[in-house]
Amino acid sequence: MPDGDKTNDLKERIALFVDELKKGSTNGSCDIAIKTINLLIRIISQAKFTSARDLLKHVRTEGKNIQAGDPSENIVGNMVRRVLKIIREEYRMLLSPADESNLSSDMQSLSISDAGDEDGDDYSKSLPNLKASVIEAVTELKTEIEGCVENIAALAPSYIHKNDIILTIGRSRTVEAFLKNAAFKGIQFQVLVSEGAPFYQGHEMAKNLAMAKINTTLITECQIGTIMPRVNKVIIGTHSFMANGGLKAATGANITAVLAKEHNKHVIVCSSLYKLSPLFHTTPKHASFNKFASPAELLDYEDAELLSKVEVIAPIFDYVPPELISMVVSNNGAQSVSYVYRLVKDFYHPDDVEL
Amino acid sequence: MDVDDVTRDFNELLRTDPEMSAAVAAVTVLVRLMESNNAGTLSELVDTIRNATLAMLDTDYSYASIKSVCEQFLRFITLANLQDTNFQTIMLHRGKIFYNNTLKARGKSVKMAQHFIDDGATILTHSRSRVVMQVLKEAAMEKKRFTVYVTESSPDKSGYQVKEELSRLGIPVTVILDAAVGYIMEKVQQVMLGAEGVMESGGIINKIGTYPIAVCAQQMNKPVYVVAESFKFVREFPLNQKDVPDRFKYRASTFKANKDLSQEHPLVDYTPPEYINLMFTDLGVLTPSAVSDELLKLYC
Repeated sequence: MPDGDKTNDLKERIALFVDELKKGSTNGSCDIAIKTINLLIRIISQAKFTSARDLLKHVRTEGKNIQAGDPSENIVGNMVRRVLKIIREEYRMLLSPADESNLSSDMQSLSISDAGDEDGDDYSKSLPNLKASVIEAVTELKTEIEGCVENIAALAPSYIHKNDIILTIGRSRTVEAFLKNAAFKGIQFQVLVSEGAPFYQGHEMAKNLAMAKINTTLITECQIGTIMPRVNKVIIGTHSFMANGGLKAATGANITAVLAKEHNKHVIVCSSLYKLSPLFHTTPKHASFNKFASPAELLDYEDAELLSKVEVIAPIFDYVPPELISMVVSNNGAQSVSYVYRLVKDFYHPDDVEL
Repeated sequence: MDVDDVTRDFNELLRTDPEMSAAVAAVTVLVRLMESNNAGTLSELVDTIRNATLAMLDTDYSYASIKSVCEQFLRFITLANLQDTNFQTIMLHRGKIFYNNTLKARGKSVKMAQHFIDDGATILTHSRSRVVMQVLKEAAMEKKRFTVYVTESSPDKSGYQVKEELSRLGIPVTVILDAAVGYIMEKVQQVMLGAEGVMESGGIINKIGTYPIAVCAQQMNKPVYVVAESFKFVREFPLNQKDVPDRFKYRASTFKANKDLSQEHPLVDYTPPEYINLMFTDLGVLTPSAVSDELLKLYC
């Protein structure tokens, strides 16, 4: 039964990916996005459905399972929602090709509360071509994501100028590519890398930049305040974006942004748009927002007797409120933070926000 | 139905159902008006609706919300291809769509707000907003435990009514003086407000006293959330309190009595968008800057 084999194979792949998410052994956000998309393509191509509604439901259920592997990994959810939106769009396109001529129905949707109009649309019609066109569109999305970092890096010469002193924290692949591209274009500038204790990803970042012949200085977190007056701009990466433009970034991002604001320095965030989540940072207590690492880096096992007396926590993420960020450089070009809501509207369907 | 009928109908609706907002009542009246009307031309029908709107605005209910909903209603029903078939059927049909959306709006907005109420939260609210009451009631129904502070909210002291209603559901409520907002703010986790009207700038028109609360909350870094249905979006762009038209600020009866406005208390104030963090509407969770976008969609 080749069909059964396929299903089992898919289940295995999903389980493997969920496991990776749980262990945190994935290799960067782009990797997570691509892996999620690949799984979703497989899920769609193997799905048996009669209507778009069934397909939506199926993708949503599978997506939820994958997301459950690590609820704080927004990118998985983002990809699932993007695919859901693609299914909806393809369904509409196939249903009424070249809708432009149909004025009255076009106007119908032109209402301030047009969400209500869509209640009538239950995606129940059977469309034989749906699967093929959805897969095509999702593959396109995948190509777009693969090119994200390059697109962002290509924008570097517009934002980095001769003799700039740039501060960055920890390691972000996007920022690394961004800075390297600026150097490659022959711009002379200096980078200060904050080491990002306790994980010290800044060390690797500084090494990589130095190898690209960029004038790099490694500093500790506590020096950020001292050097901020000397800095021209702060360029950071982020784990993901919330729908109000706030960041969910590595710890240390918030304090850096606050200090930059205090000294009136611009904070530029380099981020691909697949990191944009339709969710909001509701409250710091919200369970799926943060993740906590093992505090072993902060407190040695030799000090075990202390453990009963102190509580050691090592949160991985910081929430950076949108008002501290000057600009977002994305694969679609530079955007101001107040524009982020518009992108959320373009990327996600309101009914998919809750998976 | 003539103008007097409209006013009577409108007042009657609001008297029989105190939970109905003035906006919903206004749309109900307008749809009824269209059903009973047999205008021969489009402009006649539009005139009838305009006159009815003016009649309803002449009552003492919230000017901002009646104005916004009636403007949107008129815009929505005429925003159709009226050339080929009977315009009355199309417009009535669109009127009913609008009416249904208006009815559903509160429920949707309330749903959006639910994620933002934590177990153990402390919430400050101002005056009695029906939609905020609904948010708090549903949160209590979901077995969330939270504390509410409500301003007594002069001049109508509606805060006491809030206390009575929420206490009945077992929600701990404390009524505070309007002047005690600064005192209480450090204990509060978030501020949740309703709105009579949402301006194109993303700022809100609401019961007097809203503005100082928002300013104080911003200063103390507490998030300010506004729950408002999209039919409250209105095309005005005030920059300060003076820009807000007087009709928003005083009752119709105050104008009729020809009183000296400088001696009257304004009933609403304008809170600029920079003091508002998020808005929960039936269109989703919006940042204040998204409001003008939504308005443009309708009035482009």
